Amino acid sequence: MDYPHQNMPVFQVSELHHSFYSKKKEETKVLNGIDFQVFENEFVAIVGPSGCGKSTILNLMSGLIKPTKGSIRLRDREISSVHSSIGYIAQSDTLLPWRTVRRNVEVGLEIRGVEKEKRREIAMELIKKAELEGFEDAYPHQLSGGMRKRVDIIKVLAVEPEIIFMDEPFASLDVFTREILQKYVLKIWSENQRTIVFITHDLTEAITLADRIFILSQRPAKLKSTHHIDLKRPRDPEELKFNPRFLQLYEGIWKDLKSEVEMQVKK
Amino acid sequence: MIKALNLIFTNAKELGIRLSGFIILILFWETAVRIGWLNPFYTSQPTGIYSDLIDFYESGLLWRHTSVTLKATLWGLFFGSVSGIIVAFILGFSQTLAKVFEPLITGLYGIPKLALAPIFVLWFGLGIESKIIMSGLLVFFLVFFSTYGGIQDVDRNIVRSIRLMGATPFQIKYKVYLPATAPWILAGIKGGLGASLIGAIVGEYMGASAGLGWMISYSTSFFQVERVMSCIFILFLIGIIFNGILKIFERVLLRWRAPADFDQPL
Ligand SMILES: Nc1ncnc2c1ncn2[C@@H]1O[C@H](COP(=O)(O)OP(=O)(O)OP(=O)(O)O)[C@@H](O)[C@H]1O
Ligand SMILES: [Mg+2]
Repeated sequence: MDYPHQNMPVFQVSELHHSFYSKKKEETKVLNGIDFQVFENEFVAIVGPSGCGKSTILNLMSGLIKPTKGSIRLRDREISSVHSSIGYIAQSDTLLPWRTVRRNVEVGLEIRGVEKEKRREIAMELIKKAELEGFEDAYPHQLSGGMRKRVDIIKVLAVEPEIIFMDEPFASLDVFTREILQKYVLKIWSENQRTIVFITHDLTEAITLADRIFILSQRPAKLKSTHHIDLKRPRDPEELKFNPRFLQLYEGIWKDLKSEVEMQVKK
Repeated sequence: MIKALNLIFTNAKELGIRLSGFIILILFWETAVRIGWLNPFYTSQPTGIYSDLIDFYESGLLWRHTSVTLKATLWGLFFGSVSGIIVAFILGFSQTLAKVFEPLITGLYGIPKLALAPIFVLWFGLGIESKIIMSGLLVFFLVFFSTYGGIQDVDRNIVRSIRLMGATPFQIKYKVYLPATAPWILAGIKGGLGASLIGAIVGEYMGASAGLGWMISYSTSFFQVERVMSCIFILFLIGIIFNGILKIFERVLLRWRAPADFDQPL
């Protein structure tokens, strides 16, 4: 239970380099040779200083952009375009403002050609589970930030991706809402085992959620270190932060991260 | 019950405020003619216009000419809007085509298009076609520029998230770009309403055998100022009705938008 990932890797990232080029062909080196694996049903968190290339890694892994050099294998096949088994919850709000909550949750199913009755049924079930009942006909502008984020998550869950990427999903929310949503994510993950790659600035969040944490260095980013989080599951985000083992882990990782984040500590 | 009465009362009050400017203008106009400040030969007078409208209506001519103009206007609005939207979407998604045609369209837009009315009559005849083309052309530019601007403004994060869900290029356009540009398209059409009417009327001035524009120019040459004013009054009504219909469309199509004053919490 503590190590649900002693099986085959889902992702095999090796020697990953990436640079962006401006119009004047100036190079911005973002990733500088990154190697890691993500295992089946594992919960991985990636932590690193702002602007070091965390979102870039997810964009590469999801097939949105192609790496300058290196390889990303998803179950032994090189990623070459967007992949339907990956659900991506982006850093920014991506709800369609002209659709109601229910129709937003249905959008992925619609794209896949699922018929209307079935779509509605799946959407309503997810809305209920996310405690958004009564808001299915509301438009996004009528929801709070935390509710919008929940819709953003169930919108991705609706198509049942095996792998979920989350890019700082709770960065803009207050501590309490964040804890509630962390619980929600843990619930989703444990109910229906999936592989999750979760990006965050917030070390507490990373330790609370993940099996392993990857620490990235400043840009151009390298993998600085990997930490195993041996806290027992199920975990409760509210209580965990007072747990002695948690504090011990926190301190260790904090020291490791400190040298990198000197200037951009968030918490 | 009291609430309903209140509502009727407020609505009546609202209507009264809206109409009061109009009523004051008419009263002033009539009085000014009667006490000799204005010469009715040039300005006519409200009571005269009223009796002319009745004649106009009873002779059956009112509807005949109005329907000709309406037809040209609505077809112009339709063709202009549809072609504006289609061209904006084509150029919005093809950099090469945009590079070729955008400067061309911008250049053509600079030409005073009403100056083209005589040549359109020469090319497309005295019938309704030349009016539809004139009217459609004016609408096209307004809807094109508005829609094209809207496409540039679509939130790329939303597009990306839909792409990640496996949407085809067509699905992305249909499910994201089209609804996202709806407010811009409607703004273009709103401007196009007035333009389409102008296009049809000017086309009729230049050469026609029917229509309100033709009636205005014909009556002017016979110094029938009352008839001219009747036609203008009808155009005024058409403008109001068009705007009202568009407002209903806006309310239905854009109900997802946050109200500007945020006074409707859930
Ligand atoms: N499309 C792009 N074109 C050019 N440069 C880019 C592009 N996307 C990202 N960058 C640059 O790459 C670097 C890494 O960006 P990225 O978004 O991956 O950082 P991040 O670690 O996710 O930061 P944050 O924690 O603030 O979200 C930044 O310096 C950014 O300016
Ligand atoms: Mg980022």
